[in-house]
Order: sequence, then structure tokens, then C-alpha cells
Amino acid sequence: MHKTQQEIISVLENSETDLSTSQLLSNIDSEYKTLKQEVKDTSKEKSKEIKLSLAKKHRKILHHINKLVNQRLLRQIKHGDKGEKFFALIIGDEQEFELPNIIKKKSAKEHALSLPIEGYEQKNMVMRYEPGTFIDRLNSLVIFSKKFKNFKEIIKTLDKSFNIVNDAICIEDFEKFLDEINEEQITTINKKAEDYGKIINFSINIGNINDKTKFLQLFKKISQLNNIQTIFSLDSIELQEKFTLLEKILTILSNNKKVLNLKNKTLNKLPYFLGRSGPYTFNEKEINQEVSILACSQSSIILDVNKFFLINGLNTEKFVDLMFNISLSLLSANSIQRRKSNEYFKEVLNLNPEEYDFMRKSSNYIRFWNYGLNQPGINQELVLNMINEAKKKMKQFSHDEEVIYKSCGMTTRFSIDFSCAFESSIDNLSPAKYQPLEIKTTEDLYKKEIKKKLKDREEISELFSGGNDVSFYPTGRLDTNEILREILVILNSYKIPFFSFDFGKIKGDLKLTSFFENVN
Amino acid sequence: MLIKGKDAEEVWKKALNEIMEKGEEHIDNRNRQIKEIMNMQLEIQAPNEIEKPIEILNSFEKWKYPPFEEIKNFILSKKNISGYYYNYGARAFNFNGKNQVDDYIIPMLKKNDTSKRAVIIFYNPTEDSHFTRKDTPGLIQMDFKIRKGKLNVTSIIRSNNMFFGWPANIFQTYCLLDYIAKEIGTEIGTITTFSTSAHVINEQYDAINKVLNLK
Repeated sequence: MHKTQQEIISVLENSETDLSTSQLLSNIDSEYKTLKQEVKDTSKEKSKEIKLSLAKKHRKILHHINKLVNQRLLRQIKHGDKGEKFFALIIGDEQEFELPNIIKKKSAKEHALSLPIEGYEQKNMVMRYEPGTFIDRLNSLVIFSKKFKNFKEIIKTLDKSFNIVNDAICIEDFEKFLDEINEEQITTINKKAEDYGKIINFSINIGNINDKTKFLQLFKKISQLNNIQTIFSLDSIELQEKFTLLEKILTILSNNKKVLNLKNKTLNKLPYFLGRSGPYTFNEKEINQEVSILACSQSSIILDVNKFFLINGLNTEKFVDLMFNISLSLLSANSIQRRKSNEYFKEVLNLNPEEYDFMRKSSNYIRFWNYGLNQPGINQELVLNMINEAKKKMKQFSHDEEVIYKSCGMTTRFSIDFSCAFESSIDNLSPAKYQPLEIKTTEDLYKKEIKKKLKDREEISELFSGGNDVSFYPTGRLDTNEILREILVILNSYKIPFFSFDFGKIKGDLKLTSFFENVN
Repeated sequence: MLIKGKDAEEVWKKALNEIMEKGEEHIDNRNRQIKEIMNMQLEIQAPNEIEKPIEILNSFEKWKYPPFEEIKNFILSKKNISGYYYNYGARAFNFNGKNQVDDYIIPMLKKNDTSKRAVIIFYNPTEDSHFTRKDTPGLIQMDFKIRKGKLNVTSIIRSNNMFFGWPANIFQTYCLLDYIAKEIGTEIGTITTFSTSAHVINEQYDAINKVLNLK
């Protein structure tokens, strides 16, 4: 490694804050400070010359910084007021310390988090979601409206959350403040979400909506926005009670070519929402609702299963081995995140009665892409068996680790959940291989072949304890009545806790045809 | 029962062997089958290579032990760490506002090197003595005494998984011992642990036997 790069690492290692390019230069180049002073004191002509020299130094150090960023040793944190970049070590405290009889030499390499998945990463088979913030940010969190006095407080919390999350935020029981929310606030939230690259979920209990006019007016606005999505929580009785309202919701979504996201609250009463990487939920029967904010997912790893199939076939043993390596990697990331949680998440920790509450129910995710569901030439049962075996191994590992930590007196939570990955989660995923299934009428849902396929979705939803999204794609002319009847059948007959209807393909005056597919 | 040994590895293996051979079998409150010896006292005479048992555990590659830095941080961090139910550091350095280490132990031992009062308490009855509380500190107290110019420590542990837990417990004890010894300028003496329940769990028996067979 170049001497300058070693010096940059050393300076950042000893710094308690992120440092700008200028600050880094001041620390490693003794001449830089002198020149900075001279530029103020000297004549205009001489000053120009010095400025050129300073710019050259900036370019030089940026060259080395970029090399370190590419090696994932450093990452850019922010832009300062004058647009100057600030940097931090990706791992700040992995250095060894002295033990009796052992003095380990520090090296720059030790600053990188070395994980037993890097070989798979090189093959683009395994990918960290948002590698730059894999450790120091959470994937997602939930804000519980019930614990807030007004919507302005929620907005403040949302603002704090943008800095600590790299994917999605869910506002649970959004309807609580319906009376006081205006379109301007919603537009501002969306703008910030867009700027920060986050997905905001408004989770709404359809049964609690009393002022339909006010809601629909607001919903029209929400459905035009790209970084806010709504999740409707309901059961079959509420669907019938709110049939007219839901028809209007369907029409608005259809007009905007958007998605209707539904949570079957009979099957899952906990928050269930979506990010860029995929769905999120809590793998618990219940959670303490006496908190304002909860971390949901800490770190995610995405596995392109099709690439695994191409190299290893349906080899369960190799698949389970890979899962074990991913679990080890997530544990390593968690260890650092937990140690530094007071620093990383300090802005939100005091919002709950106890600081520990914030990460009490959080989990890590392994997301599967192209895992062979309804893929021609892939044995469905073998695939499900493979995932099942991997899950058993992963559960055993999580259990062992919790026992170890508890035995050390360091009681903590370590949990890994499976889920599906969205195509938008990351670049370099293999092309989608799934085969969409077609449903032309509600009656199709009772056909033996379709029932079998929906049962597979049930099994996948059970395996994917971190959340699964079964998507239906209505095409042709919108028939809200027919779609709501289809929803009713799904709510009543299938153990599918979360599903969606995507109206992106609604067009023309054709007979209603629905496709559904597991978002894979 | 007292077991003495020159270093951590020797003491650990002797203790595991004793429990495997003489431990009383029963089902614990978590419905696990365990072997247990009550009131086991272990003394490490020279705490060199205190990390050796952890290194042995990590050699299994079946699991991953908490990194040294994390264990050290857990005992030396003066603040609560949000990822844990509690941490020993916050209890030692900020027990209801009382810094038991910097404001009590260190100045007292500096003033009176024969003192028998240098005690740190980790268990907080106000927080921990509730039926509903699931997780309470296993490490109850540490007692520091300077004898013959060396600082010795005794850790009292109420419930001690001797396979997975003890290696971290002695490392935590060592970290605090080292911190205090440096502050008062003494050499490090012995590390003693007193475990009122020293036990191992049946799902660990195979791994324990492998450790015992290591040369």
C-alpha cells in the first residue's frame, strides 16, 4: 500500500470524527498548512501560484482516497457546507490491542472487515446490500404513531431516521393523525426521501379510516409520489365493511399505475412493509408497542441463487455451507454495529424508555433472488428442501451464538431471517427467471393447479420469516369489484400474510386478466 | 472445590474435566440437561495467555466467539450500550451515578494498599431482582486485593457456563484488573473465579470432550 494511503488510514483511525479532504491533508502534509497560511498573507499574483499548488495537493490526496474507497477501506460520509467531501474508515475499531505475551502488528488490511463471503462476492453470487453503509446504518426501522402526540413529532423523528437507515422506514398506524396531515407535509416527506434515497411506508389500518373524503384527497396525492408507498392492513370483515372505499382506492392506484399493498392482519399483526431491497417484517409473535421507534433490519446480504445453481446445481450441502458463511459474515457485522450503536444511532436511542429497546427485535436478512420458484427445469420440491435445510442450519447457528453471548454475560439478540430480494435491490443480478402464473377470474383461485401453486407461495411465505410479497398483476380494463373479490378469497383461503396488486399493466378495454407471481 | 493452575488453559481444562466426571446431572430452568458443580473455585496463578481458551473455542469454526475487542468493550465501556440488555462496564463505571472504579477502587488502593474493601458490584437489585426480568448479570462482583506487591482479583459468578462463558469471564476480569493495575502502578497477580453454579450443557458435551483431548 502506498505510504500516503497508510497515512490517511492512520489519521482517520486516530480521529473521533469524519474528516474532510483538507483536514486529511493538514494532518499528513506539513507543507499544506504553511501554504494555506501563505495564501492569505501574500500578494495576489503569488497567491494564485500557491492556490495552484494547493489544488495539486488536493488532487493528489483525492487520488489516494479514491483508491481506498474502491478497496472499501474508506467511505464518503457527506458533503460539507462548501461541497467538500468528508471521509471515514469503514471499520474504525478493528485494530488489535496488546495482550499479555502477544503484541500483534497492526496493518492497514486489518481495517477492512474480512468476511467469508468475499469469494462469492467476486463471482457476483453474493452481495452486501449497500456495502458502503453495511455496518453503520440499519436497513429499516418502524416509527409507531401511537406513541406520538402529533404528526409534527413524527416528521422530526423521520428526519433523524434518514441518517441511520439505508433502505426503508415504516410509519405504523399512519391514519392516527389523518386529521392534521396536509399535502404539503406529504410532499416534503417525499422530497426528503427522494434526496436521501429512502422508501417511506405509510401503514394504514383500513378499518380505522372514518373521514373517507379527507383520506381520499390525501391518498390521491400520496399515490402520485414515488418514494412513499402505502400498506393497507385489513381482514376479510374490514374488506367488506370498507368495500366502497377500497374500490375508490383501487381506482386511484390504477389511474396512477401504482401498487396496492395488503397485509392480512389475521395472519400478521406486526408491521410489514417494503424497501428497495424487498419486504420487511418482525419474526415475532408480538412486539412491545410501548416504544416510539424500533430497528427492524440491521444488515442484509443478497444471494443470487440462479448463479449458485449454475455453478453448483441443486447441491444442498454446498448451499447450506454458503448459508453458514453468510451467517458468520452477518454476525461479524453485527458485533461491530452493536459495539458502536451508541455512536451510530445516538439520534434516536433516547426516543424509547430504554436505549436497549431500539434493537430489541431487530434481525439480519438473507435475501434470495431467482431461487427457482416456478422456473422451468428446476425441481420445486428440491428447491424448497434446500432452503429449508439452510434455514435449519442458520437457526442452529443463531441459537448457538445467542447461547455463547449469554454465557459470556453479554445478553444480546442475534437473528437472521430469510426473505426475497427485489430486482431493484442491487445491480448485477441475473435476469428474472420466474414464470408468471395467470388468473383470469376469481374462480381460477379454486382450480387444483392454481391452488397447488398458491400453496407453494404459502410455504415460501412461511420459510421467509423476514417477509414475502406475492404480487398479482391485473391487466386490461379495471374491474374493482372483481379484484376485491379475488382479495377476499386470498384473505380467507390462503396463509399469505402480505400480497400486492400491481396496476402498472392496466390499459385498454380488454377482459380482466390477472397475473400473479412471487416477487423473486 | 478449589482448582489451581499456572495458566487459563490448564485451569479451564481441569475444571471442564471435573464437571464432566463429577458434575451432578439435572434439568435447568430453561429445560436443558446440564452437569453442575456448586461453589467451584478456580485460580489462575499467572494470567499469561488469558485468551487461550477463547482461541481454542474459535478453532472449532462451528461458531464464532465474540471478538476480544467486543468483550473488552463490554467491561470497559462506561456507558450503556444499546445492543445489550446491560453491560458490565456501565455497572462498574456508572452504577446509579457511582463510578466504582475510578472514584473508589483506584484512589482507595493507592491510599491503602492493604485494604480489604476494594469491591465492585455488578448486580443491581433495583433493576435485576424482578421475577419477570429474563436477563440479569452472571458476574455479581469483583474483589481486588494487593498482596506481596501484586494486584489479585476474585470474580463471583452466580451462574457460569464453564465451556462458553468462563473464557469470556476471565478475559473480562483480566481487562478490568489490567486497567486498575496500570492506574495504581502494581503488577498483576492471580485471577480467581468463584462460581456458585459451574455447569455445562449437554449439547456441548462432544465439543468439551474434543477440548479435553487436545494436547
